[in-house]
Amino acid sequence: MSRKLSISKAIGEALHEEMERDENVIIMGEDMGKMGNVFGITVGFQEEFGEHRVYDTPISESGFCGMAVGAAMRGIRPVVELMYDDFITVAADPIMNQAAKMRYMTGGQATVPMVLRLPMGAGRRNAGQHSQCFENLFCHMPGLKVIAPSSAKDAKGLLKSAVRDDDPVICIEHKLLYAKKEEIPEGEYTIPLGVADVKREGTDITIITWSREVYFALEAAEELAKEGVSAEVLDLRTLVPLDWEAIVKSVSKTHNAIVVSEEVKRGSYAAEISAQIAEELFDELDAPVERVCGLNIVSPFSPTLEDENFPHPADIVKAVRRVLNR
Amino acid sequence: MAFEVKMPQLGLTMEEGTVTRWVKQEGDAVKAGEVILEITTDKLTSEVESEHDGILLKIVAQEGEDIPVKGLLAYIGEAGEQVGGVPAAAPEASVEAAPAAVPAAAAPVPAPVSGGRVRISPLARKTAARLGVDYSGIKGTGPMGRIVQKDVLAAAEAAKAAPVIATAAPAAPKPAAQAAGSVELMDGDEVVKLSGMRKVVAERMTKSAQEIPVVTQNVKIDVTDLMAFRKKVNNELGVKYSLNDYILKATAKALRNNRHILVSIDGDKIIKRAHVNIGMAVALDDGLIVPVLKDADKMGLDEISRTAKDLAERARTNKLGMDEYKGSTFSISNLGMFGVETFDPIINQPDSGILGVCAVQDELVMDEEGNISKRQFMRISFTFDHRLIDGATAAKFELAVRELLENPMQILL
Repeated sequence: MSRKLSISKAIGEALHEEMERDENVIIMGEDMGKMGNVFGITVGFQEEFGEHRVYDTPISESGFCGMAVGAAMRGIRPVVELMYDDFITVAADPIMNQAAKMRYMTGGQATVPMVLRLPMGAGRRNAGQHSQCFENLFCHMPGLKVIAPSSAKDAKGLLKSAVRDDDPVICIEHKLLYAKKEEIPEGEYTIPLGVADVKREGTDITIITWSREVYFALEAAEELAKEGVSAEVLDLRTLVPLDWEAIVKSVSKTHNAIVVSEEVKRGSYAAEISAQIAEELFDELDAPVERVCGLNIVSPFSPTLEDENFPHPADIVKAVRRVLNR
Repeated sequence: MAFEVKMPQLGLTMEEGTVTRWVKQEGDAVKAGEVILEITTDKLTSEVESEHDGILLKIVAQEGEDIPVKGLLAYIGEAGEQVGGVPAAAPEASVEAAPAAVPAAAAPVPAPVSGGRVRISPLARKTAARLGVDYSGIKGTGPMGRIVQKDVLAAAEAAKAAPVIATAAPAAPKPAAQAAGSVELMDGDEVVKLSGMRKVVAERMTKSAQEIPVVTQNVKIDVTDLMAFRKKVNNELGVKYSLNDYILKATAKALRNNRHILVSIDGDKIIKRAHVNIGMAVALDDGLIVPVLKDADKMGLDEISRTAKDLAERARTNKLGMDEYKGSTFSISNLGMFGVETFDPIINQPDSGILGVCAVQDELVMDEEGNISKRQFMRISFTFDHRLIDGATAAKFELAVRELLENPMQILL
């Protein structure tokens, strides 16, 4: 049994189920209460669970993230949303310096079981300060786990696992995926962190990607199939901990790989994965690993320019052709 | 067409192997993957499998012969097929005679074409090594002419179709053997060929003894506390750490603080070793082998115990990897269990020192008040290369080992 649900509704369902399951789960963020979130994810939550479990916060990311870290250390499981992931720069200290490190610096005496939900990504004409992809920043930071679901099913299952996880988990959600309607299983289920998913099987090249670019990669794979190229699309789903086994398995089969993300190419997490493959799977490679990412520029406001600044299916197709020299 | 069976290269440092035994005989049918002969390399016995189905047409290298890596061992082909009838074709010669990618058993060295470097993908290089394809002449179809896997596969297919021409060539010169026939045989004597491990041990010991001006210093160590400590730890933790484990750990620690012992001589250069890699002499039924505990100074007692046990066990069952008995920077030879009181071990080159460990014995000791008590003592015999290590420096190291062994708690701290 399954039904069609938008990704934002799937996220809402995950949060609702977790709040019903565990009274320690609370929600915090700008416009999360009365308005029910700008994407409608928490509509009705405040009426149902009360103001003490669904908080409307002031526009003070540093403040409410710090509050969430403290609450989490005392056993509460806050699910916090920043309206745009770009605002992590304001909340860098509570997340990167406190939440990420607390377990280690207290010798395991304190944990920070919080989830930080971060709408992210380009394509909405939100310009330089509201369109960024900060995977590299989060994945760099030891102590944080990072998930980046692409489908409604994955979003719900992964988010539920994230809420139950005792470490701080960053959930990056692409803004342009929220409205996407997809099949989702009936009833309660979870998807474990750290397990990638082969979204399409292939034999000639592995396209490693996550979040919105998964769809572009699938479109590219469809296009490539017409040329006789069989591309495997590996959706990482969780960025940290990385499902390295899945990468080894796929690349050892296809012997070629590209890594696709919306990030700024320079210093990206895509670059990190590419480097790991070059280091550890050198003898499996028949060609250098290519990164297909955004340009090394500030995200432009102009629609024409913005569209040039993240990989589209045609860019992925071109990269595959380059790697396979076709 | 017939395939050549060649001496495989089983480790980076392997140069030649001895044919120990032909499992298959001329005329026998063989299948790919089936063992056709056994070879002894350096210190290990390995099986060589056929890479092809067919008939073992001709054995070129006889049992007991030393053949260089890639040297011809035999031909496999179809019944009645003619093969080059001259024994032991040197590998270089056959490659020259048949430039069209002759299958070779081991990884070929990339021969640059017209002086340039060969562009080849890592996978293609690996595949070429596996299939024995000489890729130096292949034209790559990848970006910038890079040879990719499919080019190697195509070349391998083409090579299968091309005839193999085996040409006559003189056998590779053997390393000079010791003058034979100088020993007068007496009634009942048995003559056995010096081969395999025995040969390597003989060569290495001779070389070490001839080259190195050695000094041995013997130091007496009171191990009464250590023996009691070991017993207590074993009882309380339910473990079985041997005395040797403590000696390994103490030596590793002492070496870390006495790095001047960790040196190797290389012509007019001194190599100061960065790693405390302790070779551990293990006696076998027919010889000895020295597996290496790599970075022993970074191991805890538990890890040392486990690793030493595992290496010794696999050494005795001939299951060590080629690289597990390479790379020592120091060695230990423990003959304590045989009651040896002192001895002069021979240095395991390129190390500059070896620690001989002797038996633990009860001795009577008189203290300042004249009271007699029973204590347990063990002697260590440290043999070192006097070109690089001086007597006083060596003594300092021995004292460091003694200090640790007499204060067992310090070994673990």
